[in-house]
Amino acid sequence: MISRRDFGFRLAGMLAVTGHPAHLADAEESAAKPNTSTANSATTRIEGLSQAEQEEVESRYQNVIRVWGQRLSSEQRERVHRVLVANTRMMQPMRAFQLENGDPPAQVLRVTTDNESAAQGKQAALRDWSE
Amino acid sequence: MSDDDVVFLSIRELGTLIRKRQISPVDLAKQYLSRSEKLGPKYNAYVNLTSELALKQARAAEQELASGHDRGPLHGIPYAAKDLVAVPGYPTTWGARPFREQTFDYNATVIEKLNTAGAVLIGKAAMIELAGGLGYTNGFASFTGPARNPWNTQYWTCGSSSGSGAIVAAALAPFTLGSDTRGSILCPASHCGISGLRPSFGRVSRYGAMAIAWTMDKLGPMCRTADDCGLVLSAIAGHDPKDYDSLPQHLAAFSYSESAERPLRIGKITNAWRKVPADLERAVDAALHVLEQHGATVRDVRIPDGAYEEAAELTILIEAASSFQKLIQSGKCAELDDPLGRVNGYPSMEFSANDYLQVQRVRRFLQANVDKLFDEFDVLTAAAQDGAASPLHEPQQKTPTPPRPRRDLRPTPTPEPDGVSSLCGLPAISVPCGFNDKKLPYGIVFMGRALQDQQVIAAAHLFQQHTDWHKQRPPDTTLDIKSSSVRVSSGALGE
Repeated sequence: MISRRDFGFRLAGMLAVTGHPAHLADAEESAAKPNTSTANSATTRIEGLSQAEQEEVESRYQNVIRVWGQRLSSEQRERVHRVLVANTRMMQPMRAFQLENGDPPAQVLRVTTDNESAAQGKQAALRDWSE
Repeated sequence: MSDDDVVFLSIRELGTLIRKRQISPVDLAKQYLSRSEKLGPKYNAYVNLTSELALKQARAAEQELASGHDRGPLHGIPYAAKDLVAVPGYPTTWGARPFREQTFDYNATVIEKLNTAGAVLIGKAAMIELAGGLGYTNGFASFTGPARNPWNTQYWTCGSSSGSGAIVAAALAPFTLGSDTRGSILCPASHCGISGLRPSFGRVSRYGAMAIAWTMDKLGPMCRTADDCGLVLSAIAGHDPKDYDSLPQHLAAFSYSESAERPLRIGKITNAWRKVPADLERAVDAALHVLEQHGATVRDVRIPDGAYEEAAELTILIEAASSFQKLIQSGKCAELDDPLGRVNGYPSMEFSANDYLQVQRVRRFLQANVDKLFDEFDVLTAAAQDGAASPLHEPQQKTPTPPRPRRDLRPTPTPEPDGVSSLCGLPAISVPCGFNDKKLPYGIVFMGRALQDQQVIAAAHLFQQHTDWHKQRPPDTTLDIKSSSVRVSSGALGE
């Protein structure tokens, strides 16, 4: 898994850690390095990404650099770019899935129906406003 | 019965000895504390021992039991908790350098429940930093160092409940609490040769536990046996208004029964994992044969194609970017031990709200696809992982990037059971079912429909009633102490 058990280096001959979705690691490891000179690296095609997806990666990369770039070494910037490419690849099947207007997300607001839960909600609201 | 025999007993067996007054809770706590002090460092298993609290709780248990006040199967039983649950008076470090001094002045709900059950907390178990919440590249991603597998200390325990796995395997405690967002109980249980239960989502309160991904986080027991997992789950399950996702009491409560309600209908997943070693396949087949011999029916089943791994991973990445927002924005993520963890929050913050909602909308369909399988099966089963434990390697300075593009953009056709069940909030248990040629454990996983925790435990328990993989002991776990602190007469368990 890219984030939890990123044993990409196993691809270089080290043994695998189990539970690690290798195809996701492959995705990061195979991602192209960033074009650090321009915001749009249209000249360097990243395999498996459409033009629009590649532009999205570069846009997000440039935003990370704009906001957090002074914290990041060149090696870390490369890693950020690889992660962004991998994240976009993971989004592909999500975006390709046909959803209809009424299909709700798995996470929705639950109404509170008992006093105990209501009290918890009230506490949360108070904390939000006092901070 | 020697001390070493005693410490490898199950909760149920220890409870029998306690109630027969052939072993005392105080002596038992001392014995496990002694082992944990001496053997714990060998495995990097603990962040802290809670010796003072343990002895206080053990003395209380002893007095209560002597006076006839029996709180149930966990009364007087020592345990360790993954160091992401709050316990006042001790640091709760989340396994991460930036939080090594962090303390809370309250108990997590799960600790409160174990206090009520009379269990004895002997320590806080080591873990992968932030339970892998911001990503990690190797088993060294913990400020306490890599947890070492008791079966071979050159190998990793898997994570993120790494210390919890090592502690039970080496009999430093009879059970531990772990957490599982995507496989963090199941994988260490498999690699350490123990029984680990990831309960249904919403059944065990997470109040007072570190959050990674609110829609995927679960807490659960790691024990010597599936039967023990049932006993612990009975104590820690239940509604908690302090956890927003806690199920109502009539759904969250769990009352464990040792046997299945009817002969089990087991589905053997035919498309789990990309590749599994031949001897692991044989071990799983042998396990299913045992179950068939004892009344279960086994048929092949295929998990419908779907982007389970992608959905799980994206959910975790996006929710973790929010749950660890302060850490990321402050720049303190740079203090994490793992090079990926130091930067992974930044790209995760670039996901859009639309991305997140898209994933959560697709997730419902993936959930429905899997749920439908349980119309025909009580549990689904497969190898718990795609192999045994991996060797620990010193972190590499730079990750090589071999040219291996992923050309196939379809969802993976070989879903991983722990990813599928995590994404869908399903109960799952991993129990040992064999060893590889290096004498490292293999595990088999049983997963069930949401809230059918009883069924997955029953399947694993049935298997363990007729096999002894769970009774195998790692090498070099004998504590060389001349003065025994536990005195048990032979035959105390009627053996």
